[in-house]
Amino acid sequence: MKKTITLALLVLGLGQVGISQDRYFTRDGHVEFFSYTPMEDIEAVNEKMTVVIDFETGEFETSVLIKSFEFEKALMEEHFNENYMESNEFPKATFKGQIEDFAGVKNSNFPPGVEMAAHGKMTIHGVTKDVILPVTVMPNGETYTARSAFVVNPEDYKIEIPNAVRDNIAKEIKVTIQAELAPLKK
Amino acid sequence: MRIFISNLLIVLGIFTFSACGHTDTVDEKPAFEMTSDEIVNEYLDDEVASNQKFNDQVIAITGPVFELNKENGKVIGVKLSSDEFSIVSCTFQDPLEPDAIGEGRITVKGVCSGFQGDKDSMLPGGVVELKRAALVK
Repeated sequence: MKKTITLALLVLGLGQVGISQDRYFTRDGHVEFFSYTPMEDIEAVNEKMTVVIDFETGEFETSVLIKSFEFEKALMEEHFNENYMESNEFPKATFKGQIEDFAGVKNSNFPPGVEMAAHGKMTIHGVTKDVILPVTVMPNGETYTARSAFVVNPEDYKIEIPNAVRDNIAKEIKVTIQAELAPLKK
Repeated sequence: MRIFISNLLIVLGIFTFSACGHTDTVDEKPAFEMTSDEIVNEYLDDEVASNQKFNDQVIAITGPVFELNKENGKVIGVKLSSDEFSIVSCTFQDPLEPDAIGEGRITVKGVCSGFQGDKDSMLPGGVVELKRAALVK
């Protein structure tokens, strides 16, 4: 009897400590942006992006702290945070949405490397807009590599660029994301 | 003489202004000293108030080593956490040798960038980020 109860409890316990095969995530995603003008190239990198994908539903989330973007020049980083992004007031940039036709494809006709469309809401500088982001997801052993590349227009997010430096900053900023996603264990 | 001093001050000012480098965190005194659990719980409790209190401040955090981030054989960052969901993530100003960080509890100080966490997120818990971090020995 004792052995039966112990076995039952063990099975129940193991059932609680399952590995969710549905959600994959990272807290160390790589995101960089690049502004090219004849006057100046500006680039910054952030290695602390949070990325989560639910392989059952296709839900896709990203989040990054603005203050974690690193610039080569401290003064540029200061201007970026204080004057342009106002990161004390708007500390994060986020995307929440869904990858089209992705739900449930993991165990069937998974299209590795095929570019898919993530429909959702991007919030930067406190402004939220509906966007469609291109996303590729590649299996990599027990993990997956997610990539995305797109452009952001600062004006769309009410990021004001002073006239004095208008020619130093591109109208469209190139953004690239790369994330190695591991299973989320419950 | 006045013109000479004025010119000298201008030159020194330009030199300082154009140095463009970040200050060394290792030389800075922390505004707060707390454990990784304490600061994460404070952010989870009230993110807005915690942002006002901690952002851009040098903070010394003590906690158990959960994960090391390495690049080219050197340690570029460390995560302090009692579990895998409530974390203080530190990025070192200067990469460290792997044996510079012991096991168990360590103390790291760095500049607080803020908090990543959302009760509506698919990911539970949250992460407090410290940049330009230095190991406290």
